Amino acid sequence: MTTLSDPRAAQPTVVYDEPPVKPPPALAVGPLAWIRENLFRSVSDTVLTLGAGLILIATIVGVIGWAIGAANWFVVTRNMRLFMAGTYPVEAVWRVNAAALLSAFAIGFSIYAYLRVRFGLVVVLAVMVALLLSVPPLVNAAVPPVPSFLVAGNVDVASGTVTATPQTDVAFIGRAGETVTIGFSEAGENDDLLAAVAGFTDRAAAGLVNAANNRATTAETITSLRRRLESDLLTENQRANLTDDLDRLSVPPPVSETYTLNTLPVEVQILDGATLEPVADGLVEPGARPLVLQLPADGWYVLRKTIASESEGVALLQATGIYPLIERNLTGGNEYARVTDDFTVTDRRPRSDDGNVPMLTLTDNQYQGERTFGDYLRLSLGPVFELMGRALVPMTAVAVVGYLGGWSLSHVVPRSRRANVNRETVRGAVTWLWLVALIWMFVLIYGVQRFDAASLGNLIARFIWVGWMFYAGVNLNRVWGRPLLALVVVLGLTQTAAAEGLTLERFFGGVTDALSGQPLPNNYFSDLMGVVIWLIIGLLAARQGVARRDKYTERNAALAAGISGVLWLVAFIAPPLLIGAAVSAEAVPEATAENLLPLVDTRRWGGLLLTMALTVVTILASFPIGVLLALGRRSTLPVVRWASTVYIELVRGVPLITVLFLGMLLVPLINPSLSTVDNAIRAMVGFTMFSAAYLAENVRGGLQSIPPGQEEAARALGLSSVQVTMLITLPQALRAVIPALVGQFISLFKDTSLVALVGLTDLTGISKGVIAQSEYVGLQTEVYVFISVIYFVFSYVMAYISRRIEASGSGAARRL
Amino acid sequence: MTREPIIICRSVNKWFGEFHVLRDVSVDVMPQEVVVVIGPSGSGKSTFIRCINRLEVHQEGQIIVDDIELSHDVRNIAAIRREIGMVFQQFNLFPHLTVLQNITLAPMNVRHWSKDKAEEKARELLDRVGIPEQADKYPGQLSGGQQPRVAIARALAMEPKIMLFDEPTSALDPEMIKEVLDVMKELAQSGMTMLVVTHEMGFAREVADRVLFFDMGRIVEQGTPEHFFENPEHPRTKLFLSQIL
Repeated sequence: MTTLSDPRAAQPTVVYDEPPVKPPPALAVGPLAWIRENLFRSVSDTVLTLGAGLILIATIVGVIGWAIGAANWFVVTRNMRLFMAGTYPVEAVWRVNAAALLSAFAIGFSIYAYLRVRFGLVVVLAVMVALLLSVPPLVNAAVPPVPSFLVAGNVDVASGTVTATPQTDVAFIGRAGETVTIGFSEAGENDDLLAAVAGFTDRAAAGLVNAANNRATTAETITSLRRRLESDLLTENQRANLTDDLDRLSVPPPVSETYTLNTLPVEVQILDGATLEPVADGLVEPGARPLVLQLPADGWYVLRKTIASESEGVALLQATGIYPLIERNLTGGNEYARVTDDFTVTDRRPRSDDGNVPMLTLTDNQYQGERTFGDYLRLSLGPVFELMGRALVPMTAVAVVGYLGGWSLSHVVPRSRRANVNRETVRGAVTWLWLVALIWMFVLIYGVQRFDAASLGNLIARFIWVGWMFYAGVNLNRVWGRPLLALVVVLGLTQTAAAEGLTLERFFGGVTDALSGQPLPNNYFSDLMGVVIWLIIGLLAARQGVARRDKYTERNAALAAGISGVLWLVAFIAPPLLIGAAVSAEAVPEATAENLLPLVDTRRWGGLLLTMALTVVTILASFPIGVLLALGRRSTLPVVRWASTVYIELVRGVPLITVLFLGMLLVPLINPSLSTVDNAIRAMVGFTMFSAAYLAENVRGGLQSIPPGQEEAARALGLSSVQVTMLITLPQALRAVIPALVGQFISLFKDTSLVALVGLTDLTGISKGVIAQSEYVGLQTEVYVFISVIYFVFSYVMAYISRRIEASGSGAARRL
Repeated sequence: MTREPIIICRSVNKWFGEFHVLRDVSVDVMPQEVVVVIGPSGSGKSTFIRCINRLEVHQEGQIIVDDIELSHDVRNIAAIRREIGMVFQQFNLFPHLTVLQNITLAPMNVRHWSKDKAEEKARELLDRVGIPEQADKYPGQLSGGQQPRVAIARALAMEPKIMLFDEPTSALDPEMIKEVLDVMKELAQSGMTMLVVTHEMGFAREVADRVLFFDMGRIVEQGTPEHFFENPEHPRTKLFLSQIL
């Protein structure tokens, strides 16, 4: 049946009028549509959304609640140096800080080169810095200091089976100008107040508090037993049992009465820690004003509290400005840190004729009672913010300087035709900056044999000389170009040779020795290599100059040469003068001036420093090795291919921890001379060997994903096989496997924690050490949460960078 | 005007394993000549032009390009490849480089031109193939008709004496084929020596100086386009032409 509307029968139609463009309906766009579309599309979606949301909220609330309410972060704040640098010598920690600042500068510079900084980020940073700077002083101003409760008296305090003898003398540390107050505690008035004490309590005070708590509990138990006995429903047997229980219990007399708390006057003295001479004394009486003292100097003090008469009574004193200490055993001697703010003293602890004066240790003076919010702010949040501020504010500032450095470089370098060329220049500089920064970070952290004012000047001068070689390269075509190059080379050779102590006489002496087959003089070879390496660096710079001669106008090249000439002179004159002045002003000890950066044993590396050192060295070393292995495994030469395959498969077949144990234990057995190599370096070698094999497989995957046409096209253009690999296949292969490579680097970063098992104190290793100390019993959770956060932050940053690299350049094009 | 042939092939034989791909192929190409190679799939025409810049290695016979004999001598191969540009069926643009970098790569790294000189040349070529505004894009961002033009510009950047085209239009849709053929025609008119493998008979008829017909690895028939399209002699040629025209 054919109807009129049958399309098969319809006449051809042509539509000439355009339908109007309409806005989408209200529920199709905007936040409402998003919610409808993504959260509550169907009943099951709604259930899932709500369920997952509830779990998420419960987790977050739980974690934050724990972090604020229950966690005791001082284990982290008081050991921050250990977590960050391990047992790196305290007097040299500035070098680690300097290395961190150097990387912050490079990061800021790289951010300018590669990222667009959004206004929102600036606001977030500003708020962060403002918070970090303002919260600690605000907390200190607004919240009263945490009280310490100390007991004076002549009788033991007993609670349960534990008895504690009140200490007469107790040593503490304080800063000049701090106020110490000691007076009777109101909590001594009655047992209810006593039971509610919150603060640092010494053993005797804790005994009092516990006794008061026990008494309250006993009273409660008796009340509840009585209430049950009043019930009619009990059998005879039950009633008898309950009565027995009740008879066994009795409410002891109030603690305040037992110990005649706070009735007798206490004589309080504060003695100087070194001389044990009184700095202040006074009689503290019930109801009288507390004793107040401004400490005259930083250092040790002793609090002496005695009840004058022989009476049987104790006094509960409440003090501020006197806080528990942590003792840290370091190779150079002991140091003592105050738990509330990490004020640290390295002087010897006070000693009387009877031996060491007991000090206010954290073990004996734990925080007791329900922590008040004020105390949380004072003990946890304030110190955490202060510490983070100490680290992050300078780093942020330096990163901003780096960012501005990139900005100014992009405005100084001659502009080319295209607008984005300037940023390209900055991007070119990023690689060099990181190279120089990494070298300097290594020099700072590892140290050098000999590094005094003269060698610092020499080094700076050499860098300037490299700049001159560049300048000579730029001008090589001029009439005076070649003489200039020759002059600069001679100048540089003379200076470098003089710095290495390689005189002409010694040089030719060495040559004749070598020709006549005699052994070379000491250090001859390394000194010669020093000169040669610098010459090579200079020649490379000159070659770069030749390659870029069109870019630099005569004027700005001449300007650069002039400025560097002045700097060259300054580099020689300024460092010795400055350091000489610093020594004569006694700002710097003479030993430091002789060697600014003495070697630091790698056994003293630890914490995040060691973790980062292992990670960075391993990544940098395993990357080229891995790429070579990958190319080797795809080589057409069978021997190369087999060797690469055997290596890769052997290493991949062994657990990482085994490789590490092999490095630690077996290597010295194989060749005793290797046992002198530091454990950290052996671990680096182990990680590198391991990582290179996995990296090779990843890169090989990338190489296999490149269509053969790419190589053909490149060869058809006349590129050599090395060029084809370096310019065409490898860049594409590496780009294709960025996610896998970064994933591997992230797991490598986390796997460095395995060195804790072979005795190195990386972030995980040092955490184990911290937890093992008696002061921190029960605080494992805080420590592990903290290091997890550190591991997470770095891993996330790596993942973020990887995503940015993937999305950059041709990656952005590929996603279109 | 009598000149030496720029490409001389004498009895070229090649096997893929046991399979005899090229059988006694002998052909000379004069400078500025445009030679179009046609033939059914698998007849060896692509293999033949790939032998000319030694992407494939012939096993017997002699190939002499620009007075240099192709042998295992790496220097000879490098010298030949500098003089021969090639455009592939899939274009094989380098996806990780911008259009400009694709074109400047070989002049900078093989001919050691300065970056400025290479870029100047590249922009000139992009003008010539009609896409000057695409210089900073990546190949993935180009349309299908723009990609072969970049490939042509990339080959031309080396200032080659000979251009090889391996079915440059077979991966394109009909609207774009014309754009590419126009560029190739312009190139032929400028006096470039060209060897073109193609199925575009219109192009062959209009532009070619000579047409080679390949079947089963040998040259079955060759001649001017007029001869070839008007009076083909070999039955295989007749069959082929009757099927595609």
